[in-house]
Amino acid sequence: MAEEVSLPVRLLRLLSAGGILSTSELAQKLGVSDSLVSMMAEDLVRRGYLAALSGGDECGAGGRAACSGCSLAAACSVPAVRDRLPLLALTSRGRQMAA
Amino acid sequence: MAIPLRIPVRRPDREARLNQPKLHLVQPSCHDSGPQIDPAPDALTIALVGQPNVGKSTVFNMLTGLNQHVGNWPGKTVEQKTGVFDHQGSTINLVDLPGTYSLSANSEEERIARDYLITERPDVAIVVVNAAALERSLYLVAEMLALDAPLVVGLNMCDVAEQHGIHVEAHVLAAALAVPVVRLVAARNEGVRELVAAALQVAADPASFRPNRPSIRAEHQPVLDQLVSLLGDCACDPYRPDWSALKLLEGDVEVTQQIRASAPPELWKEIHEILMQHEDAYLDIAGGRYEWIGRMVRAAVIQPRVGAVTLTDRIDSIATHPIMGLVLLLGIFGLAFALTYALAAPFSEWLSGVVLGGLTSLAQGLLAGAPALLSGLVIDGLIAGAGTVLTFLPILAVFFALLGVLEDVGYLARGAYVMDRFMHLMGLHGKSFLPLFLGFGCNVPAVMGARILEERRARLLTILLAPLVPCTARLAVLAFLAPAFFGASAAPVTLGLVALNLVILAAVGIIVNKAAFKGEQTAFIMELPLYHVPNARTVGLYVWTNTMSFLKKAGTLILLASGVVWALSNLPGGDVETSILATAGRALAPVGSLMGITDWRMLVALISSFFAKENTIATLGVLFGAPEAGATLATQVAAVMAPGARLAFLAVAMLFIPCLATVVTIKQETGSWKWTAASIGLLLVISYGAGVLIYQAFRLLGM
Repeated sequence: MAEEVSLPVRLLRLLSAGGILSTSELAQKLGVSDSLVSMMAEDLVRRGYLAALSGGDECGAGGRAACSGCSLAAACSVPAVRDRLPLLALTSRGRQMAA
Repeated sequence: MAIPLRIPVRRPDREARLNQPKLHLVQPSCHDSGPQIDPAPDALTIALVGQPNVGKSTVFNMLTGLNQHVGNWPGKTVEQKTGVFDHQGSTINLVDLPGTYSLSANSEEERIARDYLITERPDVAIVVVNAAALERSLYLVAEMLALDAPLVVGLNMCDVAEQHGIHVEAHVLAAALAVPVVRLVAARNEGVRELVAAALQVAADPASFRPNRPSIRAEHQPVLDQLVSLLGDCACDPYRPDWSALKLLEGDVEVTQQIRASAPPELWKEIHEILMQHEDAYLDIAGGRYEWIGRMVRAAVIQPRVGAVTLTDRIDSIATHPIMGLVLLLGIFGLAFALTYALAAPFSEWLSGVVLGGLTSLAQGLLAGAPALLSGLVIDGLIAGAGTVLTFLPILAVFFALLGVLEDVGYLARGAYVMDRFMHLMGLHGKSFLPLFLGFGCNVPAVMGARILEERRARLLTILLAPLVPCTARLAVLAFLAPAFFGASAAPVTLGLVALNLVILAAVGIIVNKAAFKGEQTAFIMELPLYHVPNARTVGLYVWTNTMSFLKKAGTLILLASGVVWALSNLPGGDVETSILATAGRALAPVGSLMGITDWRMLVALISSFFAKENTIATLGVLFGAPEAGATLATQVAAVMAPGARLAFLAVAMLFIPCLATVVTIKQETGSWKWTAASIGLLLVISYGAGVLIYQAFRLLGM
């Protein structure tokens, strides 16, 4: 029995409710595995529905790029946050889709 | 049983295809190596498909042995491997396609693989999948099923999967896919011949290949049919119309470009209009694949038993719990502060007593004949100021080591997750979380982090939040003074002050949220890493880079500021009590008295923190002079203030106006002096307000 809306759209809708969600939390809510959520999220980033805020190549403003211009970058005490944590957020296109 | 050697039935258009431009199986070039292996002309061709590092090449080598040819794909730098092998008397051509995650033309490899599959049409494809990453592998299978070639699946790396507690049942997967699945241990050549046998069986009777394909949503079927008929009417489609139509609807860049270039303009206009109306069709098409993958995985993967939930899951049931997680976070940080104090205090004392004392006597000896001005500057200015800041080193090293371990174990990400969810519950906007993420080390990246906000108003307001994040420099000042101020209660007091800082951040954040985002919400996805044993090298490197950068700052900015403070405390007459600094400090005394801080030196120390937060300590070092025997700078400072005033002083130090580097960044990012002034003003009000409230509350309680 197919759902009313497709899985990626359901993911976007969960995100539009706000807050911070871990991959496993989303996986639980969608009834799929963690890796499937990660895959979908990557796909949604590629398609412009989500954007990486820090880490990743698209961090542009928020992540590594911001740090690279900073003389204190080495002193930044949370390297996980700076370099590795993929923080993904809805783009305006993603928000539109979730509405 | 012999597999009949014949030209496969699925080649009705073989002649037509021969006339089309296509990739050639073997095209000798000067880069070719190895013996020339010609493909057997009438033999079956099997294509090997799979992700990189899935064991595909091992299968290829097992089968072809020396009968292989390694060259490049025509016109590409990607390696092409073709070979010939015998299976039960029949000769078979084998083509090892480049490793790909999908057939979406995201890379050269993916383009080559899909072009080959579509234009060369192998008789059958063997898809090697990784049991430990079944979802990703199945995406490729889902895309393969949209093509002509029948396929069989080789389930490899089951051993790796078992190590992760994932058990994939090959026969159940086969039933769910309606595709033959053979369990492989490619490295030990187990299952390889069976896989070939299964592939040849499918190739022999392609009509019986009726896999369970991902479905397309009903609402998109008419669109797809319309596109197929449009493409079918023109000769502009280099691929098959149904496949091209699907890729057009998916927004595949390459297929779109190809058809746009070769289609008559009117036709393209028509196609383009349809595509514009279904811009988001990709989500449904990919969604169909994801749902299909979800079904396959649910069917074929045996979930770990409840008792055997992974360690990460078990820890996370507490560590990411909304309430317990927060309690744990507070506990862990409280413990980290307590450990820092316990471990670093003896070293700090040794540094300040033996090393700093030694340095002072050494300088006194060396500068005995020098003018008083020079010895004063060096001994009372630079050594007492910047030197005292250096006694932070053990505190910082221990703190960074603990933080590094927490980070490398994977806990810090959970801490951020719990903290941010708490902030969300308090009504803070998702995008304002970012300063918290980036600002914990230093406020400068936090201010820059606000760039992610497209709307100027939201960006400006978020920048206001950034300096409220407690940075390491301020934590160091706190860590230096708290033990002398509060003795055994230092750790809980420190934790309380950090918590106060975060609560104020949340409170301001809520106001900002109301003003800037009008209650609109957005969320983040955060991938929490698995817990693992920390790596000594990683932690060591982390401590090293952080302490080095601290030393650099102490040797430059803080050294300079110490000199300036010393000069100002000696001008004009050479007496501290009648100096410019003392006069200015005393003028501020009425302001300070509301917070119980009447000593002008404390007020000057606070103000000097504008240049760098560590300057608070450097200035106190200069102004209080060398500590008497049995005392340290911190105990001397504690002596001039009542407990309420001490707490007020620390609270103000934590919340005081941003440091110079942050202010410069704020000006640069906002492009406005008005906002920069607003940021400074806001923090001035907040810090002063907090100081006054704390002191007056203590006074009312009679403490």
